Amino acid sequence: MRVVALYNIKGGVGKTSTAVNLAYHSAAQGRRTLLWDLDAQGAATFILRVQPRVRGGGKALVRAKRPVEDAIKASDHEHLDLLPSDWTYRHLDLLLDETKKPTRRLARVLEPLAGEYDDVFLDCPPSMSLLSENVLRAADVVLVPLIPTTLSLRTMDQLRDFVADQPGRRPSVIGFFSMIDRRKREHRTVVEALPVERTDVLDVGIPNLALVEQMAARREPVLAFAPRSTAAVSYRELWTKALG
Amino acid sequence: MARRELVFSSAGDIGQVFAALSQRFTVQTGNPVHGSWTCLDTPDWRLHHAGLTLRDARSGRRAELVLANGKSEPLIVLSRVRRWPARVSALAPSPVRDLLSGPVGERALLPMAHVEVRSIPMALLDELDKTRVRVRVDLQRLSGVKGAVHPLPLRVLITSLRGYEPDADRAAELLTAALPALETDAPAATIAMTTAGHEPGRPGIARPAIDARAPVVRSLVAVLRYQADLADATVPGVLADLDPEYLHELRASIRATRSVLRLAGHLLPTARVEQFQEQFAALSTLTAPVRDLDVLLCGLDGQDFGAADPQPLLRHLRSRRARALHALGAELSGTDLFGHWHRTLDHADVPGPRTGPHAVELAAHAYATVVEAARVGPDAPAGDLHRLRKRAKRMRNLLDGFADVYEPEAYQGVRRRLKALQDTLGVIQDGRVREQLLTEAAATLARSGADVELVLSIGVVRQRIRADATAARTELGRRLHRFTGKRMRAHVRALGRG
Repeated sequence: MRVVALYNIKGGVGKTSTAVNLAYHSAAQGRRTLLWDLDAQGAATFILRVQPRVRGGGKALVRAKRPVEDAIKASDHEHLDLLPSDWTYRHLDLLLDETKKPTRRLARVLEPLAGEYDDVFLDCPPSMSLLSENVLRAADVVLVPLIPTTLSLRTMDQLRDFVADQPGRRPSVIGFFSMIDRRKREHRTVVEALPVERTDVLDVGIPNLALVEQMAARREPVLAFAPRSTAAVSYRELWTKALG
Repeated sequence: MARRELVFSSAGDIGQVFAALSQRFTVQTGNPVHGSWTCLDTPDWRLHHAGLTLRDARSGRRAELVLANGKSEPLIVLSRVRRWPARVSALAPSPVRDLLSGPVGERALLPMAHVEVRSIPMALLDELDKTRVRVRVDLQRLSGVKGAVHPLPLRVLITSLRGYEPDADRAAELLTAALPALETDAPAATIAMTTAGHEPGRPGIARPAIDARAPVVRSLVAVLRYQADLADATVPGVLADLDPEYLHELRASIRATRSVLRLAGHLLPTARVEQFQEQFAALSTLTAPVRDLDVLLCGLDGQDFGAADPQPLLRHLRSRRARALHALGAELSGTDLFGHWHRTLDHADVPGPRTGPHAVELAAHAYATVVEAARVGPDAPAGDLHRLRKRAKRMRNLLDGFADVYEPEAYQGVRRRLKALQDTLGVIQDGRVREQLLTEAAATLARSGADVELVLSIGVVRQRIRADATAARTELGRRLHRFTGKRMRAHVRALGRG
């Protein structure tokens, strides 16, 4: 089982749309896939038409009072399941803090699913907190969506330092561009320069298209309702370069 | 994802399914998918007898073999067979082929029923348009059968989605309450074959019951007609070379006919018996080379040829077999021997003495002829043993034809000892034929410059066959002793107590 986290300290950078589309693509290839919506806002849960509720709430889940298997819901797409968001996730840091070995809880929760799924995607809320430490412990790959601005470099560096400070096993951290607006000179410059300067940023990006925003209205991944669109092509390219 | 199958009477339709599910869900239907499946079994229902059903299911370019035993989940593998009939050896290596090879053996798998399917996928949605259950409705009808359309049971597959299992239960309840129930719990394949006019498990030609009180000529005609029907039914399989068993069955029927005619033909009020005897003998002679090569090829399957490649030998034998089969095919397709014979028998059914005493008398006479031939002992020349074997076969065919009129225990006792004797004689005589065929093959291959190692290894195989025959000769003494002994004689005398 491979665990892939979509993570960034900042919000609104395309984590959820990327997580949903990559998870969909993984499932479409016949891989047994789970998407865990860790964000209390429940955007991924909403897109996949599932009720944002976990029986017993996040507390029962992180404290292993209820089996994680019971909380999983099938999506409308073959091979793609969802561990839905829950409103109690807004206190996830506090809930984790109350457990033994609080930085390893997420990994422990996922352990029983090892034989059941080929890929698990974690759609993370924006923060740098105890939950982030859990994500980095649990994940094999951390994909970081970067809006192509000068500040992106700073975000990537902050995350790299954060990962370097973590004890034990460390995931590979891979940046990619998100919400690229080719009309902006800065975006064009950064997209061209950064992958040349740094090995941890991929030469691949998701354009800022209205189609991606339509996911919420259509409640489907872009790859499902517009499989030949530029956005869909970009998500598939990201899969190939980062996870293929 | 758990999947359950519901089967309803063919009176059920898609409208009823839609109406039932709409009571609780929003039903979204997808595009229909057309497919088909073909039920397969051997002509003698070997899969049915083994508790198995085999289907070749096709949809689009996908073809699958589905093997089910009614207890565990069916085994499904991709099928590479384009057309049926086919033998198990034509299947790609797979767990299905492994499981089939035991019960099916060398027999061909025949298409017993062909079913066309229109599958309609459905998604059952909740108020948020989330799919809660997946359903597939299979509208099935038998095709390739003359006459009216034959609808088959309505099949509904319900797939529960993780986290929404109670919805699948609810969908099943709605359907069960609304649709007409199926009146049988037989598997779909069995229903299809029955609708196609087959009776799975029962031979296509029923063995006639012989009444000891009936006139003997009527019984004799019934036995001969049965054998003629059996022989006639094998001819298409022989001509198409579907499997070696067709020829084996043809030979068995001809032999049974000749045996009964030889021992009891004088009872028939027709002057043409002798003429038919000659024609049956000629046909029997024509079938022998193919059958001998079949037996040899089958026996070579597990033989060790050491470092030599046996393919040139196998090619040579197959080529000989093809020529012999061609000659046989020309004769078989150009004659209606069994039809003529059948029509001759139609005029032979006349009143006369009862069957029982005659059948017992004939059995006693047949036994006496075997005992007389058995005096030569186990070390007799091949010709004498051949004569003994022929007489034993005649006795066996007579006993089997009139089995109903004999005392059951005595019949079983006689048959058991007779079969043991026949088996031992078979090893000796078949071994001789196989040896001879191998000798000829080795000579031909040597002349054509074949690998010396192969020619030498054929010699080794011949030695093995000869060793088996020598062991059988030792065994033959015991068999003859039991066959001519007191208990056997007592059993023969007791045949008439039935």
